[in-house]
Amino acid sequence: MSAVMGRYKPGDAVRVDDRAVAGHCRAPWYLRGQEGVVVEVLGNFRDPERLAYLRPGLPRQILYKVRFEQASIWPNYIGASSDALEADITENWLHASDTAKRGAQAL
Amino acid sequence: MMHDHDHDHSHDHAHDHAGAGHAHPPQRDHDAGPMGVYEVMEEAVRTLLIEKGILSHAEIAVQMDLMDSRSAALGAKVIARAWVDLAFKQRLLADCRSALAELGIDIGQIAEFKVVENTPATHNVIVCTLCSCYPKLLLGIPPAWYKSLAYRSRTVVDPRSVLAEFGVTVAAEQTVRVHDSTADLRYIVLPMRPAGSDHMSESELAALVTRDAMIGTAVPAAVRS
Repeated sequence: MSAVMGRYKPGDAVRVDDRAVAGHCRAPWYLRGQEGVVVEVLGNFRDPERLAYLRPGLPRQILYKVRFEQASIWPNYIGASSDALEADITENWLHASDTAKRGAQAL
Repeated sequence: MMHDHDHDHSHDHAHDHAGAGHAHPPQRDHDAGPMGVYEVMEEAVRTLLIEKGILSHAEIAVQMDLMDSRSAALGAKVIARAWVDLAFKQRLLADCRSALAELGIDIGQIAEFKVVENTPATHNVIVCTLCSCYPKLLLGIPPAWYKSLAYRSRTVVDPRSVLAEFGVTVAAEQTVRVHDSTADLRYIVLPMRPAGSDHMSESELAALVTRDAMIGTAVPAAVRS
């Protein structure tokens, strides 16, 4: 699975798009607009947001495991500063983030 | 655990009442009273598929038996192997599909699997906020609480409190890492091998691995000699 080459690589800082979508959607609302770091390129999968409507799921989407700092998602988060949340996000939901330095630190 | 009322009923019904202190109407048994809309739909679709020769009663029965036969025992076997065989563990973490194939487990084409490892520094816990994705192949049918709105929402917002309610205390200096199964991967946690288990065989070790330990809402208890 790791042989897949996408726009992003482990360590890259990314931001989840914050567009609104009516219908089936796999980018959780609570992560829209959030910044995280790619920890793994998971593979190349049929697009679930098209498969849900009985379409072939094309074009396929590169899937990334993205790590978010809990404290950056939830302003009142209670826990360790290293606590993290990881979610699997398709490339069509991601943008390169300006705060690229965070990547090296978080990994 | 998370609500103040009886939660033995299934969570497949719409559950959009997040407030505390409310009362449910009594939940009827599945085989009592009139059928609900989804039960009628299921029966209609099933009957049509059988009438048109697309499926047979026997094939449906085989599939139901297969689903029922899956249990966390298979996941536990995988974990125990990883505990006794470091090279296998590394293959399992790097390429779950082929490592499971070594044990004769075919994960099929529906999803990929990924194992995340607990360490002294990091505790992992699995959730699916969007629906209830779950590694059924390795863990069997998910518990009702895994599908509950409370577990799915609170585990991402306040994982340490949820874990504490399950009896898992994560030290302040440890990292809690929540995995939201939002796409094509199904996750299981590789728990740490418990203290006092050095003398145990692989099958004895497998008996220590619970379903919840592989979700991350439990840790295997230390073994008393």
